Amino acid sequence: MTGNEFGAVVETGTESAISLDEDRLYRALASTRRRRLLYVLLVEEACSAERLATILAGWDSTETGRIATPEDREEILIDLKHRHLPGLDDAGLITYDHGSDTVEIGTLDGSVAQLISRSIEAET
Amino acid sequence: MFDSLFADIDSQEREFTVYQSGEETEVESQFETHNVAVSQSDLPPEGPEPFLVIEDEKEFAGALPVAELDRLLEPPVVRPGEREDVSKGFGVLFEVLDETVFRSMDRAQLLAVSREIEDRAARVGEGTLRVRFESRSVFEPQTALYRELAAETELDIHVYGIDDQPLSGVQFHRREGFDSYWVLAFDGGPDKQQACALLARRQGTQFEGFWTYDPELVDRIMRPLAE
Repeated sequence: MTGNEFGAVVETGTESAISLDEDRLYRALASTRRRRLLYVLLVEEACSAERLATILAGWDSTETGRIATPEDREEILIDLKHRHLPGLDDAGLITYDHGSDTVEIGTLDGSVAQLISRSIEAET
Repeated sequence: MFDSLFADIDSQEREFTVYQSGEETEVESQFETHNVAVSQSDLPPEGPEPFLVIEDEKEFAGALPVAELDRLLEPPVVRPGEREDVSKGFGVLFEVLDETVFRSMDRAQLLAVSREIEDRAARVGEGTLRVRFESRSVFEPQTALYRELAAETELDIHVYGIDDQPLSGVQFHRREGFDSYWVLAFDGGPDKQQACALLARRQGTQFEGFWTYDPELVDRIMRPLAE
């Protein structure tokens, strides 16, 4: 199986915490949207893709100063469901249950969590 | 007639949620007198600046930074002109702002609101003003004002519930069925953005109701009187 933009696909059944030295982690963190949703999940642990889309749309609006429209949010939601969430799930950073619309943070190494937090702090 | 309007107002499902990482915002108190449920949702500490998510009937209508909201609410509040061009979120936001609801106001407070509507009608000087005071005794002290409005403006003035006091330039109508209501509505004349109305009903010794600057709602308040 070849890797996607997140790098190699994690072995199924892997329960060990993801550690820092993995290329796919850096790929995962290469996108602002993914960094932000991982950061929210680090704190909330689990939430719906709907809530993530609302938060990301609002987050964007705080930067542009413009109102985020339902179309903006819908675009983000589609992008999450079809790209970011399955990709992060494949990388083992989250689990995403499409059916119940539940996103959960994976079992992350403390240093990984720190890296995610720091990437957000660096942004603001 | 007005009961169904009240029911519609009560059943509106607008929700504002403030997403915030740190300090409390003033959004809740800013919308205290408006027909909207305001709640908050906490975000992680390094998250974004606070933003407001606007929902109408459980659907996302828009999100905007609280800083931007504060800027919008700073007087003079500039309303978007053509509603059709405005994004849904702003549409809902201004509908909420256009409407001030109250649960308990006394006669003196209602008179003050009424005076604002009358003043606005006087300033515009044309258009239609429809008025129903809760009782004859409330109208009587206003006689001089209405005489002046009739004499000095081109307003088309209709007063309901009173039929035996001919004041020239004012049309009086004896209309039944509005007994517990206090209503003033001005259509804005040539400028619909000037439309405004007050609708209140008696609850014991106090009144509950709302006033609005939403032209559509003003029109709904005027119609049963005009029929």
